[in-house]
Amino acid sequence: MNEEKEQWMEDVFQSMKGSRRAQPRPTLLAKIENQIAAAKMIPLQKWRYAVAAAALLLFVNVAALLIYQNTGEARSEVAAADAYSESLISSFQIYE
Amino acid sequence: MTQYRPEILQNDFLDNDLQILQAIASGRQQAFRMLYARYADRVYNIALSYTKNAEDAEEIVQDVFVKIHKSASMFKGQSAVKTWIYRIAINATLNYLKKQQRFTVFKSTFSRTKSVEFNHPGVLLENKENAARLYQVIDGLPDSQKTAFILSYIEDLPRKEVAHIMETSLKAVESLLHRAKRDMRIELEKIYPHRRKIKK
Repeated sequence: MNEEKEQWMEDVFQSMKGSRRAQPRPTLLAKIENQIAAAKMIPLQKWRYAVAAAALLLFVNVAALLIYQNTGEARSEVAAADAYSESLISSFQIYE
Repeated sequence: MTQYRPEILQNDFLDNDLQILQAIASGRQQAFRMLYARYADRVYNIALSYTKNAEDAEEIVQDVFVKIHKSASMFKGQSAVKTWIYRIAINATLNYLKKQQRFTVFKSTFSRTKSVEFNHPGVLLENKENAARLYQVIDGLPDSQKTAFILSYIEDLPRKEVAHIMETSLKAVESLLHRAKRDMRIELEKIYPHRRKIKK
């Protein structure tokens, strides 16, 4: 009884010996190639995001440049005013 | 539509796996077809042994070959191409099953009962009954034992090659197989009284 059971178990373990390999459907290769080709193309949606990101970047840069220019002008006005008041102060020195 | 014709492709310009992989990396479609002709069946059978479902296995084959195509240029040659492909196939299959398990948490017990009766399409007629029992008890094994068993007893690979694929030692593979058989024996004991006797 035990020997028979042992033999059966061993037969179960070896049951795939000599079997043929199963094969996928012949159309699978074409399906894979299509998926690879599709992955190579950048979808329109991604292009839209890329263009939007580039436009945003350009806008931020232009804005930063304008702000810098404005603050530069303001700074030079302040500097001119400082120079004027400095000369004013120097000309009003009482203990010279 | 492209036809799958391994008999034509295998007689083509490249005869070694590494050359084929390099050709794939440089964008030669014919090389990809050659590699597919060489390994699609192996990958499919590995996936089929784990999933026991032809559609799931095909989905895994698709995933594996897309990965191979994507990472062909990154292959460093630290192992044989065959070993590398087996590793990709096993990882892809285990990941696929994990994803499926997460999904079935929300579903009923349907998938469990679906996997019990599986008849491998390539099995010899006289072994059909025993093979069905084998697939039934393989199900309960932990992943590492299952992988060692599938590669050794179903794929019929030498133990040394199994060790390379699993990135472990020969001793570790033997130990995994010993434990796998011990665990499967416990399950087979339960089935034994209900088995169908086959006249030889």
